[in-house]
Amino acid sequence: MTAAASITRSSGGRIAGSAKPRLQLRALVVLCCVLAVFATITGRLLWLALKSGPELKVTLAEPLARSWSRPDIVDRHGRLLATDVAVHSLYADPQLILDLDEVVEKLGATLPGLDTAELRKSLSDRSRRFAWVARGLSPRQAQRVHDLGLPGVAFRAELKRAYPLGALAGHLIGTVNVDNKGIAGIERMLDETSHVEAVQGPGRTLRSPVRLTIDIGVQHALAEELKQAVSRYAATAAAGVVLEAASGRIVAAVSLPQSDPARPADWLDPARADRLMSGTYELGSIFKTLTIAMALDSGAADLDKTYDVRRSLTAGPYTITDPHPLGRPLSVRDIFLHSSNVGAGMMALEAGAERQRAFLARLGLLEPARIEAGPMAPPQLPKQWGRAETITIGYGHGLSVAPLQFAAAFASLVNGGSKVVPTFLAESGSKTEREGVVSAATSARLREILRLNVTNTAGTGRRAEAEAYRVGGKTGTAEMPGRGGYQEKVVISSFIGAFPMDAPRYVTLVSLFEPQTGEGPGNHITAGLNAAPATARIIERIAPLLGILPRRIETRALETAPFDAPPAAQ
Amino acid sequence: MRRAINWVLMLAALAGAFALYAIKYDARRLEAKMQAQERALEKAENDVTILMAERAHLARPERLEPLARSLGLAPMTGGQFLRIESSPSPLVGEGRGGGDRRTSAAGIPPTPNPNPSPHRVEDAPSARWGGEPRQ
Repeated sequence: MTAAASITRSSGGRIAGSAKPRLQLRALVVLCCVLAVFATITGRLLWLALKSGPELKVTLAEPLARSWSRPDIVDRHGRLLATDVAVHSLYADPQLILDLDEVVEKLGATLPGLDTAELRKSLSDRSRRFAWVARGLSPRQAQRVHDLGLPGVAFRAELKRAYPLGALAGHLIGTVNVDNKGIAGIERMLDETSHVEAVQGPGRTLRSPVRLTIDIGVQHALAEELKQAVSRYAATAAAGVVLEAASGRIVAAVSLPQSDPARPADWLDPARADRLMSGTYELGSIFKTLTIAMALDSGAADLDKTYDVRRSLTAGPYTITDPHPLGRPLSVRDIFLHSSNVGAGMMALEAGAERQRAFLARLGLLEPARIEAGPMAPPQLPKQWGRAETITIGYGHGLSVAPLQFAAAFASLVNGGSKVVPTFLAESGSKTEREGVVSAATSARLREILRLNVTNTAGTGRRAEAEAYRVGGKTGTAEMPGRGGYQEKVVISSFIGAFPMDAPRYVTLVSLFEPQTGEGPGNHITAGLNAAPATARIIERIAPLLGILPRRIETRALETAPFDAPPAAQ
Repeated sequence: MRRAINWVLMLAALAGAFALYAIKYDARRLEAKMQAQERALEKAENDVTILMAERAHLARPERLEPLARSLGLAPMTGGQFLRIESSPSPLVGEGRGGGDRRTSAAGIPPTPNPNPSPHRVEDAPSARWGGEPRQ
């Protein structure tokens, strides 16, 4: 019993003794397997993380996918001038293209205007993984390309600027490049003032629209009337601006021929340059307004002071005469009405070069000016400001300024004498205290002679009278400099005016470049016969849009009304 | 007893797995739905932008002017302005405190306006044009 028990114990002990290491071995094998699996997974993860990192980075930060989201541009009444729309752009991965000839041939046939030679060249480089084929396709074009089913080409949605109004207000809106980045005009200003935001793909960012001071209705009326004036008087170009006399907000600004923001190439064409802002011109007799304002403001003359304009003025080798001398001394009023060069020259001489220069500087005409649509062309000053220059600048030659800069200076003179800075942005009309340039009394006397120049039968601006809107203004016919001096038949004829003249609210400047004819018999090209009547038509058309009432209505001229008012019940 | 607990635990594990599966697919479905709605929103936003641009394009003055002229319309002229007092329209004075020219339907003479404004006519255009009142 004891022996059996001991055998059993010893066999049991033997059994237990041999199973333990086997179990341990098994556990070890399983553990190793599990560890190997985990090690493999960890290794793979590490390998993926280290090896695939750069590839991922390239995909995410690919600069080609970047686009610029821009705020909408609207006019003063909120009408849309420019907006971003999502369009399809076609690109290709040259490595994935199977048949290069087929792709080039089919795309060339589907997208007219595609440079197939250039496309073949860019797609031949198999080391590249990306090449643009065409940007900004219309939905219909994109569908047609999609239907071709070409491997290796694909679409990417991106933002593109759309200008629903075409070339109207094109010069001031400016344009953008293929990446939606502003390169001219207000568009460029938006980039410079960080109104735009880089986005991936077609995502628009929510930004409030940029409101301009332009009124599309007035802008169109001005453009149409200028186009008619260009064809009526056979001019090569024209420019016109309407601005608020008190605040300098520009209601309409047109330069013909216009530039279309949808065609950035227009900005490279010198014939389409903006004549209001990017060109400087000698504007001629409209400068006499400034000379007379200077004389009146300094107290050197009043409207009745007479100057003996019978003798011609000499300045070095030049002799200045009046084209239509009256043969009698003229008062300041008459000098203005008859636009006497000699008279204006005498008044400028009387003030002297220093005072003239200081006065023009106060009006801001000697400094380069800047507006939201970009820097204006800097004024061209004479090299030396001597006697001859004083006289010629007195009647508008020898100093070239951008027409818009002149219009702003004129607005400062007629609005009661506070300096005007022209602006295109609705919110920037500053309410701050404005610098005075002339006294209110001088401004009132100027308004008187400006109005007289239109109402008086002898006034050069009499054809600018517009149906009871009380226009006042000054004509200017400036010969343009050419090879060998001024050219007699090549002129810029301008009319600077304001209305209603008793309390001017709007200033207009109309300039016709190289007109060949004018109103009335004989092909006279003086401003009184072309720029002045063109201004009258413009004002007749825009005054109702701007809410200016004709005098007949304003003075309660009931008896002239077409209907008899019934007697009021008393 | 132990066996019963094991069964319960196994069933609970199965139910848990099933619930997890269901929730996962539900989340996936919701995610897909959200993405679809985001895409729809983006598309709707794009469509609105394009429609607004198209509306502005169709309403451009360059296009409207010839259409209006073909209907016999023309730009406003100064001669078309009329003082409201001289207008024979029956609307004169309604709601403006100026009902001095009309007799009510019952034949009662209206109360005369004690302070007829000499500039009343000017309110109307400014209001209509949204411009500033005349200086």
